Amino acid sequence: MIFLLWFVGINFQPGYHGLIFTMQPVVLRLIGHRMWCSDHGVERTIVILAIPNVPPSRERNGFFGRIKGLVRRVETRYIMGVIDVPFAVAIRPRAIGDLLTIRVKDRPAAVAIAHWLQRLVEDQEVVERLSGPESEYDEISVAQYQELQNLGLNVWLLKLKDNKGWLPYRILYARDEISSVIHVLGVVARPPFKYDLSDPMTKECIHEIEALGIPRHLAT
Amino acid sequence: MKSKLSASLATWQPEKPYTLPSRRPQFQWGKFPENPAIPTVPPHDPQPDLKGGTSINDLVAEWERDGYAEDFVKLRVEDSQEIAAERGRDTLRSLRLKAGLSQVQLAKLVGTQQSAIARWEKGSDTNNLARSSMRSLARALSVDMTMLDAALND
Repeated sequence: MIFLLWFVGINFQPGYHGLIFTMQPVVLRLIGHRMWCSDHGVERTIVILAIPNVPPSRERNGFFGRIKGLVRRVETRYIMGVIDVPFAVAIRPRAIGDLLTIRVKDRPAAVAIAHWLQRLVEDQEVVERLSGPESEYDEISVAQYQELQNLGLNVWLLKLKDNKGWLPYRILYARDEISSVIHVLGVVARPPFKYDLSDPMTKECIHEIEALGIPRHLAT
Repeated sequence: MKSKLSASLATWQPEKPYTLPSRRPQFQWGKFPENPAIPTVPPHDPQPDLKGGTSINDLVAEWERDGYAEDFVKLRVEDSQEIAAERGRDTLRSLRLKAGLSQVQLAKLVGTQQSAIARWEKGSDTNNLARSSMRSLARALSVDMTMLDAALND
């Protein structure tokens, strides 16, 4: 039983919070050496730090060396710690340009947007709010960009409220669930921007997402 | 007359004694290998691949250097008041915001990672907080230890 637990990678290690997974090479091979992640309740946890404990391959020369190498390959361990991997917020160059333009025209709004985006990184509970299909809270309103969602692109629209009311800007962002990154694609002023595939910003979004390699979801 | 052989024998020095290579740490049941080359805890925050994007923390830091620091401090102080009013007391987050600091800035002052500050603000790992970290936190936030302790036990 202990061997089975060890083999599937479940180890209780004193001094660590929660579980420590030590994946066996065979299991890692099965999952293609990709990061193994799971959700534990609300917290997004991921297993990281895969460090092989294999000596350089030069030690595997010769017949016995090869056997030793095989043995060591079996011994190879990947040490992993279960930790929270928070979502990161990446601002695309186009969005930086948008923010700088807004900063010239409307300084408080630009600062409020940047401050709020930083709050996302600092308080991951706010990120959870961004995943609702139509979420409206005191200070934010989140909605899917339906035209792009229909194409399988995970693009969302966010509007913010400051002391004076709703800001006349929409933050377009794409969620990359695999690498835990929210890519801010652009910040657009609402009146000229149309929720339409013919809009130049929308076209730019599609190109950007394709360049980023964010996988499309199955459009409903 | 000394021959070449005797001359070479006179200067002969034994080679450096052969030492066995140090034993590679072996797997021990229930233990991580004690190999300093293999850290058992991540040495730094895992940084996701931003794929050429700019981190929001870097962007805000750049704007603060450009002369927008006061604007951010003002917004943080406003946030701190909201949080304190909502909770009815100061929390670590509200204390940080009241000091006008971002998590990255506080982490630099305390000498830790931003993710550690985020965890402490969330309420995890605060029981095991080192005394030195507590002192650094109190110094950075300009509060006394009692107030900090109350904020951490939120």
